[in-house]
Amino acid sequence: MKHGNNFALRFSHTIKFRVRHDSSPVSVSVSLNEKEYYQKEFKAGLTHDTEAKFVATVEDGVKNLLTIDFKGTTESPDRYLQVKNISVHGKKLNRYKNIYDPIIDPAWWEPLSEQEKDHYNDVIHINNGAHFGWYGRVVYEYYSGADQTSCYLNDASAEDRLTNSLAQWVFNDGSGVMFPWDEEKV
Amino acid sequence: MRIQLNNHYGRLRSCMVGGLDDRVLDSVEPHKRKKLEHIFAKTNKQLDGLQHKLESMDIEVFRPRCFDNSKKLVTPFFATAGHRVPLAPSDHFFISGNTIVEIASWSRESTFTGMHWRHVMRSGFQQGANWITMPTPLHDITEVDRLDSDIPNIDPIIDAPSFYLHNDHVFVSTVGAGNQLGVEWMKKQFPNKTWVLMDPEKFVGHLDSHFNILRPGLVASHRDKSDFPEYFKDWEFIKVDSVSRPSELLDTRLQDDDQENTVLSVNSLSIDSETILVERTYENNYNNFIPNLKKHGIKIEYVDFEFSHFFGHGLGCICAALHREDD
Repeated sequence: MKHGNNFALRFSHTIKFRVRHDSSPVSVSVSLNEKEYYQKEFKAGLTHDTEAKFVATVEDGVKNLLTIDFKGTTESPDRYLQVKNISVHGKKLNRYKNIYDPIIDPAWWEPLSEQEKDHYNDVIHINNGAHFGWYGRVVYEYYSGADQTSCYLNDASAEDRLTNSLAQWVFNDGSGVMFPWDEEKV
Repeated sequence: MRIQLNNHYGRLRSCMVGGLDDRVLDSVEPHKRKKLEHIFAKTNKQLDGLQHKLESMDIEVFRPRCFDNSKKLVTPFFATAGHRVPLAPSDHFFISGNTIVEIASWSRESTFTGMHWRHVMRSGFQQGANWITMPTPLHDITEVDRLDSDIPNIDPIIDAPSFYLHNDHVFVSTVGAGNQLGVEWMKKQFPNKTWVLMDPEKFVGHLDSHFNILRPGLVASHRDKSDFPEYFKDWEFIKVDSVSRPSELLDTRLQDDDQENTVLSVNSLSIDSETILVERTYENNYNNFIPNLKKHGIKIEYVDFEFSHFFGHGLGCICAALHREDD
């Protein structure tokens, strides 16, 4: 960009979720741009409603990957992670707009008919309702910027425009820079 | 091939239908690839289905001749990782009468996207159409210090759906997908038109997702009649349901939390003033729109375009009329 900038944006992140496994403990971890900010084990046999909260520094005019890993050791039909709400710096992200990479047993998947695979691909990629039954990784994307100007100048969404798979922008303006002394309120 | 367009409801004789080029998937991030492969594969089938449906209605259909969208573009002022897929021809061409205007988009990746339909433009030109192109914007970020609007007002830039043609009137959205110079440039090409600026607070971006004139005196919109200019004061309005506040999650293909992109049903495609093409998902999920269309004697034909909301395009985006007969 023309003059460069020295922005370091401090954005709060809140992920509200429900997690359950009927017979075995599971874990949920949350990372932003590959740095882990939250990790917790959940006991079996209970439905847990909780939230992961953290504040992180993000750059001006870039895309950020908010990654949720759902892990466990035992398969069960009564097991899931459900994302109820995600907000970044006060802006609500669309929880249905995710990229889900489930860990699927090939011994189950391969014998499925093409029609069944198509159905499950719809369930996985399109119509998961932010309700994730398989262990695996869920990615939410957002672009961060100081304001509309940095959105244009840094053009973080350029590659995503090729396929029209755009994420949301979260701007810092309007609510002001989050200074360290504000963080305790998050 | 004849180019002739005066409104959005004359009997449709020919149109462009968008396409997707899989080669662009080579340049997407690995974590998105599986999802996009699935979406592209299904959408390609559904675009073919749409083409067959239109052809069965005696409409000539033109598809893009895709070049490799993953090819990098480098100009003296900007570079891109590739080119936008040619899914929405309506974004790239404004047609009035027998004049085709290739627009200049705010999206740098769209600079060459209109060229997927070069064969159509050549054919139209050979058959007597007037064929003009907006100046290519430099997209030079060194000229921009700070934006005072969505898009820098340095070169003329505007997406075609920022204009909505209705015979001798053109309705204009000045924000969201274009700049003031883009509006001024277009006005100079059509000095005999009456230009009506829409409320910039309410009609942001592409107008064909705000309202759709079904025939003279009848318009479909999710907006209130009071939001519209004087021109529409004696018109009847068909209320299109907005799903921006869904009461329950029925289908994420239909509903999402993004209020800006959830009224794509407005963006349906009129075959003529009595028949409209609507995305099949809306068949059972709407309270007002479908019954109101029927009440006004509009015949509805359904087609599949499941990922309408994913792409942010309605049928009026992925089908661009080239020739409509005047009523």
